[in-house]
Amino acid sequence: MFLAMLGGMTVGMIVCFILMVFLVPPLGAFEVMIPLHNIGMWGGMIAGMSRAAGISEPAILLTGASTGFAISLLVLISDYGHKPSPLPDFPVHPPEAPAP
Amino acid sequence: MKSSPETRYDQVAKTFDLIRSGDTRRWKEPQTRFFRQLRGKTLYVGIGTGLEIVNFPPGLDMVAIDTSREMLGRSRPRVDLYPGKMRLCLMDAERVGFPDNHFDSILTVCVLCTVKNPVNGLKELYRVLKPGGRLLSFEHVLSRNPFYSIPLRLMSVISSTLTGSYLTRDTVSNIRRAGFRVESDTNVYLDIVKAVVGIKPA
Ligand SMILES: C[S@@+](CC[C@H](N)C(=O)[O-])C[C@H]1O[C@@H](n2cnc3c(N)ncnc32)[C@H](O)[C@@H]1O
Repeated sequence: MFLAMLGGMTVGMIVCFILMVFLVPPLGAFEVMIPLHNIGMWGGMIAGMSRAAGISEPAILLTGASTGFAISLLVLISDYGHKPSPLPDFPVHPPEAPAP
Repeated sequence: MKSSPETRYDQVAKTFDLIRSGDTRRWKEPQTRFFRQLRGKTLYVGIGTGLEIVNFPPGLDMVAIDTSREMLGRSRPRVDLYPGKMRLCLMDAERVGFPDNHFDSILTVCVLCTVKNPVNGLKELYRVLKPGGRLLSFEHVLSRNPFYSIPLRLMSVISSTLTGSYLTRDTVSNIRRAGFRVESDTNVYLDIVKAVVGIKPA
């Protein structure tokens, strides 16, 4: 089971790394790298263990898709938690003269 | 043979704009707000291909430096369109050829990840900044969350090999270590992409 988990994680991360090459240019480096790595790692582990436990292919696919969706959502929520929304109007130094 | 960071950026210059197109679009709005703080004589460190020039307020008097000749060359059309003064120099942030207390503000965008010794580079920027002047840094740093820092550590191995850029730096602490007082530290994406303002005490 441990080997299946490790194998699944490795395969998941390799697949996500290849996907990254195509997704970074349109979507941005960190916005792609962070969720994709976690999806590859955790999704791959779960898929590897499910396969070793003899779970059917469609069920594994469904689990993978749900894991990916849940991780993307968690990262998105975490991002909202990290930053003030909307970003502040940074103070201007020295203060701008008021418009006439 | 291992190439120097300068020549590594010479090699990626051709594809740089394509790779950065997503970031350029996503960062436009926060950068435009952040850069409004730039004032007067400004040193722009690591201009690259000049992708963020469109986000600058007009009318600044800028000197833009970079160690890659190829990147500087590609920035030229964007520099020419800037509605203010902008001069290009092939120069290392760790050896800035300007006198002490020369600039009103200094800007770094995704460059403190690449400068070989970031604290030395920042000390050099501190030297050329006027007392009371502001260092504006729009940079990526290592996350404190292990779910985010593991991917960054893994990818850092690849990016440091390809371009000399590290995804694992603690830039906010480095800014403090160089002598600046950190006035604000705002997250732009998670706790990874940050807009940091450092002040050289008057
Ligand atoms: C990741 S790119 C960022 C370019 C641009 N600021 C942007 O965000 O699109 C880093 C740039 O910093 C330059 N650079 C690296 N080390 C430097 C140093 N010590 N002094 C000045 N520029 C440097 C590289 O040549 C490269 O053009």
